[in-house]
Amino acid sequence: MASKAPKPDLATLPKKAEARALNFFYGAKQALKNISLPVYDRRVTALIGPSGCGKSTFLRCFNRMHDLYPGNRYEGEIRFFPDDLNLLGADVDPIEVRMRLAMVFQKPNPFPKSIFENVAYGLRVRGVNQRSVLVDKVEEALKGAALWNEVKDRLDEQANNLSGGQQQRLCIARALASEPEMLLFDEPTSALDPIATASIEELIHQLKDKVTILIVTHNMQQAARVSDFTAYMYLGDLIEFGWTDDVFFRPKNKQTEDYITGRFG
Amino acid sequence: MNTSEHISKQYDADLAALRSRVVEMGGVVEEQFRFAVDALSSGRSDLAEQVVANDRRVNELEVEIDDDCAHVIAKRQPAASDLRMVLGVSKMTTDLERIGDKARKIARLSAAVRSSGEADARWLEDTHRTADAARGLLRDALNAFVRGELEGAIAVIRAAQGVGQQVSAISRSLVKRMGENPGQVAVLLDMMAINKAVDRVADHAGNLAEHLIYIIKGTDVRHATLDQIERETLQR
Ligand SMILES: Nc1ncnc2c1ncn2[C@@H]1O[C@H](COP(=O)(O)OP(=O)(O)OP(=O)(O)O)[C@@H](O)[C@H]1O
Ligand SMILES: [Mg+2]
Repeated sequence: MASKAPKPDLATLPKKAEARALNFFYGAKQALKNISLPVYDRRVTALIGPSGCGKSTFLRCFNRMHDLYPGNRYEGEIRFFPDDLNLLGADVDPIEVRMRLAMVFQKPNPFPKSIFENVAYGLRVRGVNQRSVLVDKVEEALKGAALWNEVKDRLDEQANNLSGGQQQRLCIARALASEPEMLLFDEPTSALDPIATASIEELIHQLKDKVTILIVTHNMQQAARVSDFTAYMYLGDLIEFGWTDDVFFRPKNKQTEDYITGRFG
Repeated sequence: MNTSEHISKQYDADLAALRSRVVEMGGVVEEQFRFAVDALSSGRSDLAEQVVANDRRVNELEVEIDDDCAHVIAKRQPAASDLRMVLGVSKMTTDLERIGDKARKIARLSAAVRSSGEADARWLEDTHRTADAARGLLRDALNAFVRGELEGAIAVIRAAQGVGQQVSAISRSLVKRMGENPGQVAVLLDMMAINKAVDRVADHAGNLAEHLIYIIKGTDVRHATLDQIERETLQR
């Protein structure tokens, strides 16, 4: 809800991705129903909705996390720009996709390695092994995640020694090291205290200059604070999508209104 | 207005309390205005003094309700229609307090005007009639608020302009009397100030109706024309 400047016309905003008539099935259970949603380039889009409405399911389609389990099935497409790739295409390599769209989870999940190795991991997977390159990239990623100053003198320490908020920023640094175009956050602050939460939110604000962000959050105020766009989902349907300040000030849909104002549906 | 209940009953209660307090304040202010005009019509100075004394209560109510609004915002972080309700109530208290000021002003001036002998029956009648119309608007605006009625709000805004025209006619005749009667200019100016105060009450009632539109629709119509307001509010 940052600026008071007139909002740009949506038709002129470049998209980073776009779900088109997306259905998703866990076996026989349909979890996403005909979702069409633009994700604007270098903007933050928040996904909100009651538990079980399909937010995480939707997020996970973007980096093909569902591929890991047999029986999961996609229909429709997710176009990814500027190359206009269908992320769900059978010819698309999920590993490659996960480099371009990196996921940060609810609970910080650093590897049981040093701080340095956590961040270097993605680079090593991609075959980068030259020490000087790794050192530079790790520093850059840690700076990008606003963690560098706190850890620069202890890069060889175990990552588990960091505080929860630091661990979460480490996971963001790890994601940033592979220079993703889009970051997928699934409730990134729900395990953090208010101060650590504020620093992650500030980081999201800084990151959006470079990357497109899709964030799932249960915290209504957080969605209002960090996002440019908000999508409200209910039972696998997309109910409303729009500029965050419209959705939070005068939602078009009564269901959205009832949800964000804390009423029974 | 969203009439569904919140999951938090306490939140419902907080918002209901805000609504009923602003209506309570509206009742106090309406009575202040009625007594002020009665004091003028009847020449009863005790009534005038009571209005002046009671204005403190109006000011207190404004501060208290604004404080309640601030607390609801801090505690609940209201969104959408709830946020508009809280902001709208806060704006309403400002207009109600101003109506209270106008009542006090009329009460203050009434004694001097009555004792001057310039307050003829015709002027008293005209003034009383426009004041009743203005008070009717205030009541209609409050009723529309209680019921969440958009049409009622639009009717108030429209009617407020009619009161303005009546007051202008009274003012013109007072200006004429000033020319004919230079020695009485001071008291005629006081009379004009009374008519102006009545006009302002009608304006503030119109503002209350605009705040109601904002609460219900989320559109700010404060600087729009009537046609724009009707177009804006009747769509959707
Ligand atoms: N592996 C699975 N197999 C079968 N059904 C699943 C699976 N994972 C999720 N679901 C179901 O799909 C629906 C959407 O789940 P999802 O996890 O996407 O919801 P969510 O909006 O992220 O909820 P929460 O806010 O609780 O995280 C739910 O009904 C859930 O029970
Ligand atoms: Mg989830």
